[in-house]
Amino acid sequence: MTTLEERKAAEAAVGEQLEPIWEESGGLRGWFTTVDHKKIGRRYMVTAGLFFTVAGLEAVVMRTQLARAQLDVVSPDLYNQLFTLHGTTMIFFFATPMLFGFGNYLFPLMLGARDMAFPRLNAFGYWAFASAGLLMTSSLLFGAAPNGGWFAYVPLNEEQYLPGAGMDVYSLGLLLLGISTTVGGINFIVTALTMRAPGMSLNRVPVFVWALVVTSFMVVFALPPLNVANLMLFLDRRYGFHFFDPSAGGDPILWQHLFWLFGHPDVYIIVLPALGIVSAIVPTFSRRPIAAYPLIVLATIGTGVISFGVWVHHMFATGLPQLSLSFFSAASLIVTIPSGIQYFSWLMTIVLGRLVVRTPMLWILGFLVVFVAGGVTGVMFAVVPFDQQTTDSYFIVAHFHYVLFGGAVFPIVAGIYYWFGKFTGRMLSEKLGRWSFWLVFVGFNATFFPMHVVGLLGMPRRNYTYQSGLGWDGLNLVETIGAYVLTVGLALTLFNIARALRSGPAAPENPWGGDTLEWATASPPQDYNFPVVPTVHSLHPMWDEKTLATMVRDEDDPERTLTDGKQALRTSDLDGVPEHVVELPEETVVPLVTAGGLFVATLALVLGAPVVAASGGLLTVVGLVVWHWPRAARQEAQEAQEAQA
Amino acid sequence: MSAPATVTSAATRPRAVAREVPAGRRPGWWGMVLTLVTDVAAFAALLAAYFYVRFVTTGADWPPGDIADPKLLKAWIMTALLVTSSAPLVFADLGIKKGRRGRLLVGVGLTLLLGAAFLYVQYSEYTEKLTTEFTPQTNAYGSLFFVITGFHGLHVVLGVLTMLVVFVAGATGRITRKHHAVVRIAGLYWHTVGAVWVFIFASLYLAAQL
Ligand code: HEM
Repeated sequence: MTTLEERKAAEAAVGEQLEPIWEESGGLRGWFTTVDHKKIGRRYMVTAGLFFTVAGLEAVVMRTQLARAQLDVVSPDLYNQLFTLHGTTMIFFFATPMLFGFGNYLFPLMLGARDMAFPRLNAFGYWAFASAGLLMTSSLLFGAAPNGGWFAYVPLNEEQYLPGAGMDVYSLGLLLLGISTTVGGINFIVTALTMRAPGMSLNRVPVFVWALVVTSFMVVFALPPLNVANLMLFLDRRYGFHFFDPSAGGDPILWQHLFWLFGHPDVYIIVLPALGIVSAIVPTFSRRPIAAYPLIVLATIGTGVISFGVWVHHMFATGLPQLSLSFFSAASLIVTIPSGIQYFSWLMTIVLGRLVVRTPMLWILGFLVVFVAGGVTGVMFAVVPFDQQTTDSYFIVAHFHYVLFGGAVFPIVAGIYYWFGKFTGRMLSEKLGRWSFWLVFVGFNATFFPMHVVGLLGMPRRNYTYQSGLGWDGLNLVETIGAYVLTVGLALTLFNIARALRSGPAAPENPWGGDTLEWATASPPQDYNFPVVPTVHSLHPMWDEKTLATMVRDEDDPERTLTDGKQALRTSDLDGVPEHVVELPEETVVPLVTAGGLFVATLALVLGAPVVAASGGLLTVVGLVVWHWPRAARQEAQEAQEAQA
Repeated sequence: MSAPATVTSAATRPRAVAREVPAGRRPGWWGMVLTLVTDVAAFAALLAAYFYVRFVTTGADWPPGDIADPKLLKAWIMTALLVTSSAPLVFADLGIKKGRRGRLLVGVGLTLLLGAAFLYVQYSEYTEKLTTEFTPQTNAYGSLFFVITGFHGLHVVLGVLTMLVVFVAGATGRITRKHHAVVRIAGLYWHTVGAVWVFIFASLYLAAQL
C-alpha cells in the first residue's frame, strides 16, 4: 500500500556505509556463526514449527488409535510414549520457542533498534533449544521416549517403576531447554530496557513487547523450581538419591510442589505472548489505536504477578491434599480477571473502530471465539466437586486444548499471516489462508468439543483404548474425523507458505497499514534494520506525522546513523533518552560451541557416561571464557598507538 | 511527504557537546543481575525443598536417624573465608576505576586465593562426611545436603575461574580505567555467591542444631 519515501531517503543516505559493517558471511559458515536476531528468530520459528508438526502427527496417530473401540494401531506402551511426548513437545518445544521466535525477530524492529542487547546469547539460546528438542523428539525413534505423562509424577516416574532412558531424556532435555529459555528471557528484558529508540518512553512501548517482557520475568522466577525438580528426578533415577523416595525420608509430594510452582505460571508463559500478538493485530484491522492501552499493560503485568500468588495461596491456605486439584482449574479461574480486561479491550477496539477482515484478523476472530469457550470451562473447575468429578477425564483434555490451542495456535497462525511479508518479503495467499482457517476452525471444534461430552460420560484420559457400548463410540469417531480435517487445514497453511516462498507476490513495507515500527523497515529488513534510527513521537509511530520524518531529518547525525562500526544506541530505561553508543559483537562460532558442549554433556549423561559429560561441560566453560574475554581495552590500546604514530 | 534534511552539523548540537561518559548501567550489568535473580531463585527452591522435607515430611527428628548434627568448625571457617573474600574485590574495583592496575591485581588475586581456600575446606569436609557420616545415597537428608552445598560449591568453582580470567586479563592490560565493566560484573556474581552461602550456612548448619 504505502511506499515509505522516508525509508528510501534514509537508505540512500547511509545504506552503503552500513552494508559492509553489518553483512555476515553467507553459506554454511554463516549458518553456524550468525548473531543476527532476524535469522535467529526465523530459525526459532521454523524449528518450533517442525516440532509442532511432529507432535501434531503424534496426536493424529493417537486419534487414529482411538477412532473405534479396541483398535490395535499402536501398542499400549507406544501410546504412553506418544501422549507424553505430544504433551511435552507442545508445551515446551513448540509454544514458548515459537513465541520467542516471534519475539527475537520483532523486538529490535518494534523498538527501533539494530539488534538484541546480547546477540551471541541469542544464538546460544537457539542452539541449546534446537539440540534439546532434537534429543527429545528423536528419542521416539529409539523407543526411549518419555512415557510417564508430561508432568512426570513420582513415584510412577522413579526408576523402579519406569526403567529405561525415557524419563532421563525428559528431565535432562528439559534442563537444557530451561537454560535456553532463561537466557532468552533475560535477553528480552534487557533489550526492552536498554535498546529502545530515542523517544520511546515506557508508555510508548508496543503491547506485544510488554507481553513478552512480563513473560520473561515469569520465566526468570518460574523455571528454577522446574530445573531443580528435574535435577532431583535425574539424581533419584540414575544415582540412587532419595528426594522423592518415602522409604528413605523423601517425599513424592515435593515433586508436585516444585513442578506446579513452575506449572502454574507456565500457562501464562505460553498464553501471554500470544495475547500480545492479538493486541498487535487487532488495532491494525480495526483502524484505530488499541482501546485502554494502560489497562491492557497493567492487566498483563497483573497476570504475571497473580500467577505466582495463586500458588502460594494454595500452600498457605490448604496444605497438601488440595494440590490434587488440577492446576488448570485454579489457573483458569484467575486468568479470567486480567484476561477479561484484555478481552474487553480488544472488543472495544473492534467496536469503536472499523473492522477489516483480512486473513490475519480472521484467525484472531477465531481465537476470540475459541478462547472464551476455554475460559468458560475453566471457570467450571472452580467448583471443587465438579473438578473432582472431571479430573483425569477427557473433559480436562478438551478444556486445555481450548485454552492452549485456542490461546496459542490461533494467534500464532494469525501472526504468521500478519508478519510473513516482513519475515520473507513475500505475501501469503489470502484465499488459501481463508480455506485453511475454516478447515482448522471446524476441525478443531469437531475434535475437541465432543471430548467435553465423552469426558462427562466418564472416559478417562491417557488410555490407549476403550470398550465399545459405553456411549463413547460415535463421539470418538467424530473426534478422529475432526482431527483429520484439522490436519488438512494446517497442511494448507504449510502449503501456502511453501508456495509463497517460491512465487508469492513481493511484500510492500507496510502491507496492512500497521502502527508499530517494524513496518518502517524494508521487507525483509536490511541487516541493520534501520539506516537511520528513528526518534519515536507516539505509541503509534507509523500513524503519527513526525516519527518517520526523523529518519530523514537525522540522516547526517552520526548518533542516529551509527556508521562507525557495528553499533547500537543505549537509551535510558524509563524515558528512552539516548545515553551512549554500545558496540555489538561480530558473527562467531563461540555460541554454537558453548551450546554444543552442553548438548554433549546432556547426551552423555543420558547414556550414562559421566566422564564424557564432564568434558562436554569443560568445553562449555572454555567457550564461556573465550566469549567473555575482554576485548574493548585492546582496541583502545591499539587506537592510542595509531594516534601516536 | 519527506521533511527536508537539516544541515546543522551533528557535532555542534548541544546534545552531542554536553554528553559525557556512560551514564546508565551497561546491558551486561543488567544481564548479570537477572542471571543472579534466577540463580538465587534456584537456591531458594532448593532450600525450600530442604525445609519442606525437614518440617513437613520428617518432623522432630532432624537430622534423621543416627546422623549427628552437622559440625560447625569447618563451616564457620568457610563462612569467614567467603565473607572476607568480597572485601579485596571491592578494593580492586575501586582501584581500577582510578586506573590503578596494581590494586586490581592484588585485590582480585586475594579474592581468588580466599575462594580456593574455601573450596579446599569444603573438600576436606566432604571427605570426612562421605567416609564417616553419610552419603547422598543414605537418605533424603544426605541427598539434600550434598546437592545444595555441591551446587553452591560449583558456583564457587566458576567464581574462582572467573577471578582467574579477570586476573590474567588485568595483568595483560585488557582492563583499564575506561574498560573495567567486567570487574564490576564479576564482582556482582562473587558477592551474590557469598551471600547465598550465608543463607546455606544458617539453614543447613546453624538451624540444624535447633
Ligand atoms: C494439532 C492438534 C492436536 C491434537 C489432534 C491433539 C490431540 C490430543 C489428544 C487426543 C490428547 C490426549 C491423549 C490422552 O490423554 O490419551 C492430547 C493430550 C495433550 N495435548 Fe494435544 N492435541 C493437539 C494440539 C495440542 C497443542 C497445540 C497443545 C499445547 C500447546 C497440546 C497439548 C497437549 C497436552 C499437554 C496433552 C496432555 C499430555 C499428557 O496427558 O501427558 N495439544 N492431545
